[in-house]
Amino acid sequence: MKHDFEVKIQARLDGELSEQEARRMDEWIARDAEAGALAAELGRLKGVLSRNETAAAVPESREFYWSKIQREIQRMDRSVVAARGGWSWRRWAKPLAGLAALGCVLAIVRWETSPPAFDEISATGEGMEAITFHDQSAGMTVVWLQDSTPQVKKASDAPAAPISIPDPGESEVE
Amino acid sequence: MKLAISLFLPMFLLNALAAGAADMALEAKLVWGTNDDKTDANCKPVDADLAGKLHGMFKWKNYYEITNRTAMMPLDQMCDLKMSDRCTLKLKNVGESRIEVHCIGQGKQVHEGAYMLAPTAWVVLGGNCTNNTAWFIGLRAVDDSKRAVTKN
Amino acid sequence: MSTDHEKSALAEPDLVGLAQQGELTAFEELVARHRDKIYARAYSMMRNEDEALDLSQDAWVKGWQRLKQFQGDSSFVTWMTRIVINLCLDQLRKQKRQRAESIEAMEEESGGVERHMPVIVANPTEGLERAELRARIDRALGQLSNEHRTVLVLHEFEELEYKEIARRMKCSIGTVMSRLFYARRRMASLLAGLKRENSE
Repeated sequence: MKHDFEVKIQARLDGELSEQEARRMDEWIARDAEAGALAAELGRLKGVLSRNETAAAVPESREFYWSKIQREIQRMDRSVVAARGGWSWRRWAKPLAGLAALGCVLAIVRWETSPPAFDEISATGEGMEAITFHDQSAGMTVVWLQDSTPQVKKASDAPAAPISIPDPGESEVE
Repeated sequence: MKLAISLFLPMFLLNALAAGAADMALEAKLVWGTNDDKTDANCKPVDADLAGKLHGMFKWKNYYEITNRTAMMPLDQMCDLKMSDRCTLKLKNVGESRIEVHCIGQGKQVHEGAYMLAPTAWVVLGGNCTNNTAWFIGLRAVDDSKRAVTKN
Repeated sequence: MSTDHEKSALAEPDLVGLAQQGELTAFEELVARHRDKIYARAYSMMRNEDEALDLSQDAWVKGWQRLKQFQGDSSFVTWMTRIVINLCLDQLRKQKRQRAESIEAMEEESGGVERHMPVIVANPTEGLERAELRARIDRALGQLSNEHRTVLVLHEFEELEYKEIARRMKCSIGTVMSRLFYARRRMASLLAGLKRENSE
C-alpha cells in the first residue's frame, strides 16, 4: 500500500478529512482487506492510548517545588524594578530619613529585649546560591545549595558538588 | 579579703552556671540521598525521624547515614566537626539556641548562616552530587538528658 | 486578604482573579492544584525527571509573568499546559541541534523499519490490568524517538489537530501525518513485543 493511502486512512480515523474524502475512504476500507486491517490496528491503538496515559506526579514536596518557583519570580521582580531605575531618591529622601530614624529607635529597643527570630543567611560560596524554606509541619528548615552560573541552571547539568560523599567503604560512622 | 570572696564568689558561680546553661549539645549527620539500594555495612539507613522528613521533601528513594557527630558547644566558641575528608563544619554557639554554621567543602567555604536549633526540629543543608544523588547535613539540638560529650 | 487555608477553599476563577491582581499566595494555590498535571506533561515529552522538573517550574514562572493575558477562553490548566508544551518543544529543538545527525535519526523521520512491519492483527493489550497496560504504554513511549513521541503526545493526549501540531513543531502537516503514522506503528509493534516478552 502506498504511504499516501496509509496516512489518509489515519487522517480518516482522526477526523481530519472532508466529508467527501471521508466517505471515499470508508468505501475503500470496507472493500480492501489490507486497508481494513490497518484501520483496525490504528483504531485499536488510538482507543487504548487515549484512555491509558500514565499520570506522573512531582517527586518533590509542595513546599520545595514552590520555593524554587517563588524565588525565580522574586528575582525577576527585582530585576524589573532595577531596570525601571528603582527609587527616585530626591522625592523619597525626607520620608525615608524619618522612617530610618524611627527604625533605629525600634531596633535599639528590640535589641535590649530579645534577639531577632529570623534566620540570617550571610553568604554562600562563589558561584553558589541558596534557597531556604521552612516547613513548619515537618519541623524542618532546609537550605538547598546549587550552582548559580547560567549555563548550569538545570540540575541535570550541575558539575561535581563541593560537598561530595566519600566511598561508603571508607566512611566513619559513629 | 573575705568581703571580696563573699562578693565575687557568688557572682563567679552564677556566671559559671549561666555559661553551662547556655552550652548547647548538638547532633550533626552527613546523609547521602540515592535511588540505589546499598547493602554495604557502612551504609546505614538514616533514623526514621529524619528519613521521614527527607522522604516528605525530596525525591530520592534511600537516605543513608554516612557520619554522625555529637558535640557540646560552649557559648561563643567555635567548634570544628569533621563530617568527612571533604567536608568540615565550623560551628559557633551564639546563645539563645542559635548557632552560626560555616560549611567547608573541599577546602572552600560553601555556605555560612545562622539558625535557631531546637531538639524537635532539624536544619538541613543539601545539594546535588554526581550520578543523580544528593548530600545532606542535618543539624539539631540534642536533649540535655541525652548529651554525649564529644569534642572535635 | 484571605488566609492560605481559605485559599484552598476558593474556586479556580476566584484564585486566578486574585493571582492576576498580584497575590502570590493565590498563585501558589494554583500551582499546588495543578503541578502534577503540568509536570506529567513535561515528563511525557522529555522522559527525564530533572528536565521535567526544571521545565515545569519554568512554565509556572512564565505563567505568572503572563497571567494578565489569560482571558478564560480555555481552562487555566489547559492554558498552563500549552506553556509547558512550548517550553518542552523549545528544549527538544535545542537538543536536536546539539545532537549529531545519525543515519538512524534520518531513517526515523522517513519511517525506516516501520515501513516493512506487518500489520498487528491481534490486540496486544487485551486482557491486561489497567496498571500493567499503563506501565507498558509508558515503557513503549520511552522507546520512541523525541519526534515520534512528541507528535503522539500532542495528538493522542492533548488532542491537538494536525494543523496545530504542525504550527507548534514548526513543520509541515505532511510531516506531522508521517511522524504520527510511524509513531503509531512503532507503538503497536512495541506493545506487541512487550506482550511477547512477558508471555515467554
